[in-house]
Amino acid sequence: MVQVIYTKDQGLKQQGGAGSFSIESGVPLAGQIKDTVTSNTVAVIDFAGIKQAEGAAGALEFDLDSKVIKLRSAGGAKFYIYFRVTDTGDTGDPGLEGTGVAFSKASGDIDSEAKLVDALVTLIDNTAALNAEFEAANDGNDHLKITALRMGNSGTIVTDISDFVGLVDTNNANAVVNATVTFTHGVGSHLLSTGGISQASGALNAAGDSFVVISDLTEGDHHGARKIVHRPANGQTFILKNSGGSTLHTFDAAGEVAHLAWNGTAWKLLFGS
Amino acid sequence: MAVKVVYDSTRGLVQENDATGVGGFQIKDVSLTEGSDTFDAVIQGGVGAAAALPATGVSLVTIGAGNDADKKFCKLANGTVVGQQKTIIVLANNGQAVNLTVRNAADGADLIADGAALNLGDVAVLVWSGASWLVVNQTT
Repeated sequence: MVQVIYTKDQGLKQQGGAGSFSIESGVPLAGQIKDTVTSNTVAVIDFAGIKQAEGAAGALEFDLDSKVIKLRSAGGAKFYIYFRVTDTGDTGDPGLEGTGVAFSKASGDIDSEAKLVDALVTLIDNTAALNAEFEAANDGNDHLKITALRMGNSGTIVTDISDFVGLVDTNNANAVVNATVTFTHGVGSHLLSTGGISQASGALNAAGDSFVVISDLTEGDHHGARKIVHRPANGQTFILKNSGGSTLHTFDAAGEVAHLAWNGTAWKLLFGS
Repeated sequence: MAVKVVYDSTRGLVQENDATGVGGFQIKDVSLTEGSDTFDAVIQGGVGAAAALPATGVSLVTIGAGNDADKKFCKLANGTVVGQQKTIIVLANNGQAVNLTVRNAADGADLIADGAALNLGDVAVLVWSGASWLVVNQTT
Protein backbone atom coordinates (compact mmCIF):
# COMPACT_ATOMS: atom_id res chain seq x y z
CA MET A 1 0.00 0.00 0.00
CA VAL A 2 1.05 3.58 -0.35
CA GLN A 3 1.79 5.64 2.70
CA VAL A 4 2.03 9.45 2.57
CA ILE A 5 4.00 11.23 5.23
CA TYR A 6 4.56 14.93 5.70
CA THR A 7 7.63 16.08 7.58
CA LYS A 8 8.82 19.63 7.74
CA ASP A 9 12.29 18.60 6.59
CA GLN A 10 11.23 16.69 3.51
CA GLY A 11 7.72 17.84 2.75
CA LEU A 12 5.37 15.23 1.32
CA LYS A 13 6.83 11.81 0.81
CA GLN A 14 5.22 8.65 -0.52
CA GLN A 15 6.49 5.27 0.51
CA GLY A 16 5.36 1.70 0.86
CA GLY A 17 3.68 0.71 4.10
CA ALA A 18 0.33 0.57 5.79
CA GLY A 19 -2.01 2.92 3.98
CA SER A 20 -2.11 6.19 5.84
CA PHE A 21 -1.65 9.92 5.54
CA SER A 22 0.22 11.32 8.48
CA ILE A 23 1.65 14.67 9.48
CA GLU A 24 4.73 14.95 11.61
CA SER A 25 4.14 15.75 15.23
CA GLY A 26 4.49 19.42 16.01
CA VAL A 27 3.39 20.57 12.57
CA PRO A 28 0.01 22.26 12.35
CA LEU A 29 -2.66 20.97 9.98
CA ALA A 30 -4.64 24.08 9.28
CA GLY A 31 -7.12 25.72 7.03
CA GLN A 32 -6.52 29.25 5.88
CA ILE A 33 -8.49 32.23 7.06
CA LYS A 34 -10.49 32.47 3.89
CA ASP A 35 -13.06 35.11 4.73
CA THR A 36 -12.81 38.15 6.93
CA VAL A 37 -16.14 39.85 7.43
CA THR A 38 -16.41 43.03 9.40
CA SER A 39 -19.25 45.32 10.29
CA ASN A 40 -22.36 46.04 8.24
CA THR A 41 -23.28 48.43 5.46
CA VAL A 42 -25.12 51.52 6.63
CA ALA A 43 -27.06 53.96 4.48
CA VAL A 44 -28.12 57.36 5.80
CA ILE A 45 -30.83 59.23 3.96
CA ASP A 46 -30.87 62.97 4.54
CA PHE A 47 -34.24 64.26 3.40
CA ALA A 48 -32.86 67.81 3.40
CA GLY A 49 -35.85 69.09 5.29
CA ILE A 50 -38.45 67.56 3.00
CA LYS A 51 -41.76 66.91 4.70
CA GLN A 52 -45.41 66.48 3.91
CA ALA A 53 -47.52 69.57 3.33
CA GLU A 54 -50.60 69.76 5.44
CA GLY A 55 -52.93 72.18 3.77
CA ALA A 56 -51.15 74.90 1.82
CA ALA A 57 -47.54 73.97 1.22
CA GLY A 58 -44.98 75.87 3.29
CA ALA A 59 -41.23 75.89 2.92
CA LEU A 60 -39.85 72.44 2.15
CA GLU A 61 -43.36 71.05 2.18
CA PHE A 62 -44.51 68.78 -0.61
CA ASP A 63 -47.18 66.24 -1.30
CA LEU A 64 -45.28 63.01 -0.75
CA ASP A 65 -48.11 60.80 -1.95
CA SER A 66 -46.94 58.19 -4.52
CA LYS A 67 -43.25 58.76 -3.83
CA VAL A 68 -41.06 55.67 -3.60
CA ILE A 69 -37.86 54.62 -1.87
CA LYS A 70 -36.19 51.50 -3.24
CA LEU A 71 -34.03 49.12 -1.25
CA ARG A 72 -32.02 46.04 -2.14
CA SER A 73 -30.42 43.46 0.13
CA ALA A 74 -27.07 41.82 -0.54
CA GLY A 75 -29.04 38.61 -0.95
CA GLY A 76 -30.70 40.15 -4.02
CA ALA A 77 -34.14 40.83 -2.54
CA LYS A 78 -35.69 44.07 -3.81
CA PHE A 79 -38.13 46.23 -1.91
CA TYR A 80 -39.92 49.46 -2.51
CA ILE A 81 -41.63 51.63 0.05
CA TYR A 82 -44.47 53.52 -1.55
CA PHE A 83 -46.00 56.53 0.13
CA ARG A 84 -49.74 56.71 0.54
CA VAL A 85 -50.78 59.98 2.08
CA THR A 86 -54.29 59.08 3.05
CA ASP A 87 -55.78 62.57 2.97
CA THR A 88 -54.26 63.61 -0.35
CA GLY A 89 -53.87 61.27 -3.32
CA ASP A 90 -53.71 57.98 -1.39
CA THR A 91 -52.17 56.41 -4.48
CA GLY A 92 -51.97 52.64 -4.38
CA ASP A 93 -49.20 50.14 -5.06
CA PRO A 94 -47.25 51.15 -8.19
CA GLY A 95 -46.46 47.49 -8.79
CA LEU A 96 -42.72 47.84 -9.16
CA GLU A 97 -40.21 44.99 -9.16
CA GLY A 98 -39.75 43.45 -5.74
CA THR A 99 -41.76 43.52 -2.57
CA GLY A 100 -43.91 46.60 -2.14
CA VAL A 101 -44.47 47.96 1.34
CA ALA A 102 -47.10 50.64 1.82
CA PHE A 103 -46.15 53.67 3.91
CA SER A 104 -49.65 54.82 4.65
CA LYS A 105 -49.89 58.03 6.67
CA ALA A 106 -52.11 61.03 7.10
CA SER A 107 -50.51 64.36 6.31
CA GLY A 108 -50.31 65.32 9.95
CA ASP A 109 -48.32 62.21 10.75
CA ILE A 110 -45.39 63.18 8.55
CA ASP A 111 -45.53 66.97 8.46
CA SER A 112 -42.05 67.38 9.93
CA GLU A 113 -38.80 65.76 8.95
CA ALA A 114 -38.55 64.16 12.38
CA LYS A 115 -42.03 62.68 12.09
CA LEU A 116 -41.27 61.45 8.57
CA VAL A 117 -38.05 59.74 9.62
CA ASP A 118 -39.50 58.25 12.78
CA ALA A 119 -42.49 56.90 10.89
CA LEU A 120 -40.23 55.28 8.30
CA VAL A 121 -38.15 53.75 11.10
CA THR A 122 -41.29 52.24 12.57
CA LEU A 123 -42.36 50.94 9.18
CA ILE A 124 -39.05 49.25 8.43
CA ASP A 125 -38.59 47.76 11.87
CA ASN A 126 -42.18 46.52 12.11
CA THR A 127 -42.50 45.06 8.62
CA ALA A 128 -41.27 41.47 8.72
CA ALA A 129 -40.01 41.34 5.15
CA LEU A 130 -38.00 44.53 5.55
CA ASN A 131 -36.86 43.81 9.08
CA ALA A 132 -35.48 40.46 7.96
CA GLU A 133 -32.91 42.41 5.95
CA PHE A 134 -32.62 45.86 7.50
CA GLU A 135 -32.73 47.73 10.76
CA ALA A 136 -33.71 51.39 10.77
CA ALA A 137 -33.10 54.22 13.21
CA ASN A 138 -33.23 57.97 13.45
CA ASP A 139 -29.55 58.91 13.51
CA GLY A 140 -30.26 61.73 15.96
CA ASN A 141 -30.23 64.38 13.26
CA ASP A 142 -33.57 63.35 11.77
CA HIS A 143 -31.86 61.36 9.06
CA LEU A 144 -33.02 57.85 8.23
CA LYS A 145 -30.26 55.39 9.08
CA ILE A 146 -30.70 51.95 7.50
CA THR A 147 -28.35 49.14 8.51
CA ALA A 148 -28.12 45.99 6.41
CA LEU A 149 -28.42 42.96 8.64
CA ARG A 150 -26.24 40.94 6.30
CA MET A 151 -22.74 41.66 7.52
CA GLY A 152 -19.92 42.90 5.33
CA ASN A 153 -20.24 45.01 2.23
CA SER A 154 -23.84 44.87 1.08
CA GLY A 155 -23.33 47.40 -1.68
CA THR A 156 -25.98 49.93 -2.57
CA ILE A 157 -28.77 48.96 -0.22
CA VAL A 158 -30.75 52.13 -0.95
CA THR A 159 -31.01 51.96 -4.70
CA ASP A 160 -33.33 54.82 -5.53
CA ILE A 161 -34.49 57.98 -3.81
CA SER A 162 -34.98 59.90 -7.04
CA ASP A 163 -38.52 60.83 -6.03
CA PHE A 164 -36.95 63.00 -3.35
CA VAL A 165 -34.42 64.64 -5.64
CA GLY A 166 -35.03 67.79 -7.63
CA LEU A 167 -38.17 68.84 -5.78
CA VAL A 168 -38.99 72.46 -6.50
CA ASP A 169 -39.85 74.38 -3.36
CA THR A 170 -42.40 76.93 -4.52
CA ASN A 171 -42.34 78.57 -1.11
CA ASN A 172 -38.64 79.22 -1.15
CA ALA A 173 -37.95 81.10 -4.37
CA ASN A 174 -38.35 77.90 -6.34
CA ALA A 175 -35.25 76.40 -4.73
CA VAL A 176 -34.51 72.85 -5.76
CA VAL A 177 -34.40 70.45 -2.83
CA ASN A 178 -32.44 67.23 -3.01
CA ALA A 179 -32.45 64.36 -0.55
CA THR A 180 -29.13 62.52 -0.40
CA VAL A 181 -27.96 59.12 0.68
CA THR A 182 -24.52 58.23 1.96
CA PHE A 183 -23.12 54.76 2.53
CA THR A 184 -20.63 53.29 4.94
CA HIS A 185 -19.72 49.78 3.89
CA GLY A 186 -18.67 46.77 5.89
CA VAL A 187 -15.81 44.57 4.74
CA GLY A 188 -16.13 41.23 3.04
CA SER A 189 -19.22 39.28 2.10
CA HIS A 190 -21.97 37.95 4.32
CA LEU A 191 -21.76 34.76 2.24
CA LEU A 192 -19.03 32.62 3.75
CA SER A 193 -17.02 30.17 1.71
CA THR A 194 -17.39 26.47 2.39
CA GLY A 195 -13.68 25.89 2.80
CA GLY A 196 -11.08 27.30 5.12
CA ILE A 197 -11.80 29.36 8.17
CA SER A 198 -14.12 32.34 8.22
CA GLN A 199 -13.88 35.20 10.66
CA ALA A 200 -16.67 37.67 11.32
CA SER A 201 -16.91 40.40 13.90
CA GLY A 202 -17.83 44.00 14.49
CA ALA A 203 -21.55 43.57 13.91
CA LEU A 204 -23.36 46.89 14.27
CA ASN A 205 -26.93 46.01 14.95
CA ALA A 206 -27.61 46.24 18.67
CA ALA A 207 -30.63 43.97 18.36
CA GLY A 208 -28.28 41.07 17.65
CA ASP A 209 -29.81 39.98 14.37
CA SER A 210 -26.97 40.79 12.03
CA PHE A 211 -26.00 37.63 10.20
CA VAL A 212 -23.63 35.77 7.93
CA VAL A 213 -24.56 32.78 5.79
CA ILE A 214 -22.66 29.57 5.12
CA SER A 215 -23.24 28.28 1.60
CA ASP A 216 -24.22 24.68 0.96
CA LEU A 217 -21.79 22.14 -0.37
CA THR A 218 -22.87 19.80 -3.15
CA GLU A 219 -25.78 17.65 -2.02
CA GLY A 220 -24.88 14.00 -1.68
CA ASP A 221 -21.16 14.77 -1.66
CA HIS A 222 -18.45 16.02 0.69
CA HIS A 223 -19.86 14.00 3.61
CA GLY A 224 -18.11 14.91 6.84
CA ALA A 225 -16.47 18.09 5.52
CA ARG A 226 -15.81 20.57 8.31
CA LYS A 227 -16.03 24.32 8.55
CA ILE A 228 -14.90 26.66 11.29
CA VAL A 229 -16.35 30.12 11.83
CA HIS A 230 -14.64 32.37 14.35
CA ARG A 231 -15.56 35.68 15.90
CA PRO A 232 -12.17 37.26 16.64
CA ALA A 233 -13.24 40.63 17.91
CA ASN A 234 -15.97 42.60 19.59
CA GLY A 235 -19.10 44.15 18.22
CA GLN A 236 -22.72 43.18 18.60
CA THR A 237 -24.13 39.70 18.65
CA PHE A 238 -24.64 38.15 15.22
CA ILE A 239 -26.04 34.92 13.83
CA LEU A 240 -24.57 32.25 11.57
CA LYS A 241 -27.31 31.00 9.27
CA ASN A 242 -27.51 28.24 6.71
CA SER A 243 -28.63 28.92 3.15
CA GLY A 244 -32.23 28.24 4.14
CA GLY A 245 -32.14 30.99 6.75
CA SER A 246 -32.07 28.75 9.83
CA THR A 247 -29.79 29.66 12.72
CA LEU A 248 -26.74 27.44 13.14
CA HIS A 249 -25.09 29.42 15.92
CA THR A 250 -25.41 32.76 17.69
CA PHE A 251 -22.11 34.53 18.31
CA ASP A 252 -22.68 36.58 21.43
CA ALA A 253 -19.10 37.13 22.56
CA ALA A 254 -15.68 37.72 21.08
CA GLY A 255 -13.55 34.62 20.75
CA GLU A 256 -16.41 32.25 19.99
CA VAL A 257 -16.06 29.44 17.48
CA ALA A 258 -18.60 27.37 15.60
CA HIS A 259 -17.48 24.00 14.25
CA LEU A 260 -19.74 22.67 11.53
CA ALA A 261 -19.94 19.38 9.66
CA TRP A 262 -21.65 18.76 6.30
CA ASN A 263 -23.86 15.66 6.46
CA GLY A 264 -24.45 15.47 2.73
CA THR A 265 -27.50 17.70 2.69
CA ALA A 266 -26.99 20.32 5.39
CA TRP A 267 -24.47 21.91 7.72
CA LYS A 268 -24.78 20.67 11.28
CA LEU A 269 -23.33 22.34 14.34
CA LEU A 270 -20.82 20.04 16.00
CA PHE A 271 -19.75 22.63 18.53
CA GLY A 272 -20.57 26.23 19.24
CA SER A 273 -18.91 28.10 22.08
CA MET B 1 14.36 25.92 6.97
CA ALA B 2 11.30 23.76 6.68
CA VAL B 3 9.05 22.62 3.90
CA LYS B 4 5.47 23.81 3.98
CA VAL B 5 2.78 22.12 1.94
CA VAL B 6 -0.08 24.26 0.73
CA TYR B 7 -3.16 23.22 -1.18
CA ASP B 8 -5.24 25.79 -3.01
CA SER B 9 -7.89 25.27 -5.63
CA THR B 10 -5.91 26.82 -8.47
CA ARG B 11 -2.43 25.43 -7.90
CA GLY B 12 -3.21 22.13 -6.20
CA LEU B 13 -0.52 20.84 -3.87
CA VAL B 14 2.53 23.09 -3.63
CA GLN B 15 5.58 22.51 -1.50
CA GLU B 16 7.45 25.65 -0.57
CA ASN B 17 10.23 26.65 1.75
CA ASP B 18 9.05 28.09 5.04
CA ALA B 19 11.69 30.45 6.35
CA THR B 20 10.08 30.46 9.78
CA GLY B 21 11.12 26.86 10.26
CA VAL B 22 7.70 25.86 11.52
CA GLY B 23 6.46 24.14 8.40
CA GLY B 24 2.85 23.12 8.14
CA PHE B 25 0.21 21.56 5.98
CA GLN B 26 -2.33 24.15 4.96
CA ILE B 27 -5.52 23.73 2.99
CA LYS B 28 -6.46 27.11 1.69
CA ASP B 29 -9.89 27.42 0.23
CA VAL B 30 -11.65 24.11 -0.03
CA SER B 31 -13.13 21.61 2.35
CA LEU B 32 -11.07 18.63 3.51
CA THR B 33 -13.04 15.47 2.98
CA GLU B 34 -12.17 11.90 3.85
CA GLY B 35 -13.44 8.93 1.91
CA SER B 36 -16.78 7.50 2.93
CA ASP B 37 -18.45 4.11 3.11
CA THR B 38 -22.08 3.10 3.55
CA PHE B 39 -23.58 0.74 6.08
CA ASP B 40 -27.04 -0.54 6.96
CA ALA B 41 -27.67 -0.73 10.70
CA VAL B 42 -28.80 -4.09 12.06
CA ILE B 43 -30.99 -5.35 14.87
CA GLN B 44 -29.47 -5.60 18.33
CA GLY B 45 -29.00 -9.34 18.07
CA GLY B 46 -27.19 -8.98 14.79
CA VAL B 47 -24.47 -6.64 15.92
CA GLY B 48 -22.03 -9.35 16.84
CA ALA B 49 -22.07 -10.97 13.42
CA ALA B 50 -22.30 -7.76 11.45
CA ALA B 51 -19.31 -6.09 9.86
CA ALA B 52 -17.89 -3.23 11.88
CA LEU B 53 -17.70 0.31 10.64
CA PRO B 54 -14.10 0.91 9.60
CA ALA B 55 -12.03 2.96 12.00
CA THR B 56 -11.15 5.47 9.29
CA GLY B 57 -12.96 8.04 7.21
CA VAL B 58 -16.67 8.72 7.18
CA SER B 59 -19.39 6.10 7.57
CA LEU B 60 -22.82 6.88 6.17
CA VAL B 61 -25.27 4.75 8.13
CA THR B 62 -28.85 3.96 7.17
CA ILE B 63 -31.18 2.96 9.98
CA GLY B 64 -34.52 1.24 9.69
CA ALA B 65 -33.66 -0.75 6.56
CA GLY B 66 -36.77 -2.45 5.22
CA ASN B 67 -38.81 -0.13 7.43
CA ASP B 68 -37.67 -2.14 10.43
CA ALA B 69 -37.33 0.26 13.36
CA ASP B 70 -35.21 -2.29 15.25
CA LYS B 71 -32.42 -2.00 12.71
CA LYS B 72 -30.60 0.74 14.55
CA PHE B 73 -27.38 -0.83 15.78
CA CYS B 74 -23.83 -0.88 14.48
CA LYS B 75 -20.35 -1.33 15.85
CA LEU B 76 -17.11 0.49 15.27
CA ALA B 77 -13.73 -1.17 14.78
CA ASN B 78 -10.86 -0.18 17.03
CA GLY B 79 -8.60 2.60 15.90
CA THR B 80 -4.95 2.06 15.20
CA VAL B 81 -3.31 5.43 15.81
CA VAL B 82 -3.74 7.73 18.76
CA GLY B 83 -5.68 10.79 17.66
CA GLN B 84 -7.29 9.06 14.70
CA GLN B 85 -10.68 10.55 13.95
CA LYS B 86 -13.84 8.85 12.82
CA THR B 87 -16.99 10.48 11.51
CA ILE B 88 -20.40 8.78 11.52
CA ILE B 89 -23.38 10.32 9.75
CA VAL B 90 -26.94 8.99 9.90
CA LEU B 91 -27.70 9.29 6.22
CA ALA B 92 -31.23 7.87 6.05
CA ASN B 93 -33.84 6.30 8.32
CA ASN B 94 -36.47 4.77 6.02
CA GLY B 95 -39.10 6.72 7.86
CA GLN B 96 -38.18 5.18 11.21
CA ALA B 97 -37.76 7.88 13.83
CA VAL B 98 -35.26 5.96 15.94
CA ASN B 99 -31.75 6.64 17.19
CA LEU B 100 -28.57 4.93 16.09
CA THR B 101 -26.66 3.02 18.74
CA VAL B 102 -22.94 2.66 18.06
CA ARG B 103 -21.09 -0.05 19.93
CA ASN B 104 -17.45 -0.82 20.47
CA ALA B 105 -16.58 -3.77 18.26
CA ALA B 106 -14.10 -5.05 20.81
CA ASP B 107 -16.34 -5.36 23.86
CA GLY B 108 -19.84 -4.50 22.71
CA ALA B 109 -20.12 -1.52 25.03
CA ASP B 110 -22.14 1.45 23.87
CA LEU B 111 -20.04 4.26 22.43
CA ILE B 112 -23.11 6.24 21.47
CA ALA B 113 -26.19 5.03 23.32
CA ASP B 114 -29.80 5.41 22.32
CA GLY B 115 -30.18 8.31 24.76
CA ALA B 116 -27.63 10.34 22.85
CA ALA B 117 -30.30 10.77 20.18
CA LEU B 118 -28.09 10.31 17.12
CA ASN B 119 -30.67 10.20 14.39
CA LEU B 120 -31.40 11.29 10.84
CA GLY B 121 -28.93 13.87 9.58
CA ASP B 122 -26.84 13.85 12.73
CA VAL B 123 -23.06 13.71 12.74
CA ALA B 124 -20.79 12.22 15.38
CA VAL B 125 -17.04 12.66 15.56
CA LEU B 126 -14.96 10.27 17.62
CA VAL B 127 -11.27 10.22 18.47
CA TRP B 128 -9.21 7.10 19.22
CA SER B 129 -7.40 7.54 22.53
CA GLY B 130 -5.13 4.58 21.97
CA ALA B 131 -7.40 2.39 24.04
CA SER B 132 -10.94 3.46 23.23
CA TRP B 133 -13.10 5.69 21.11
CA LEU B 134 -14.22 8.95 22.67
CA VAL B 135 -17.08 11.00 21.29
CA VAL B 136 -15.76 14.53 20.97
CA ASN B 137 -18.65 16.09 19.07
CA GLN B 138 -22.14 15.06 18.16
CA THR B 139 -25.06 16.90 16.69
CA THR B 140 -28.59 16.16 17.81
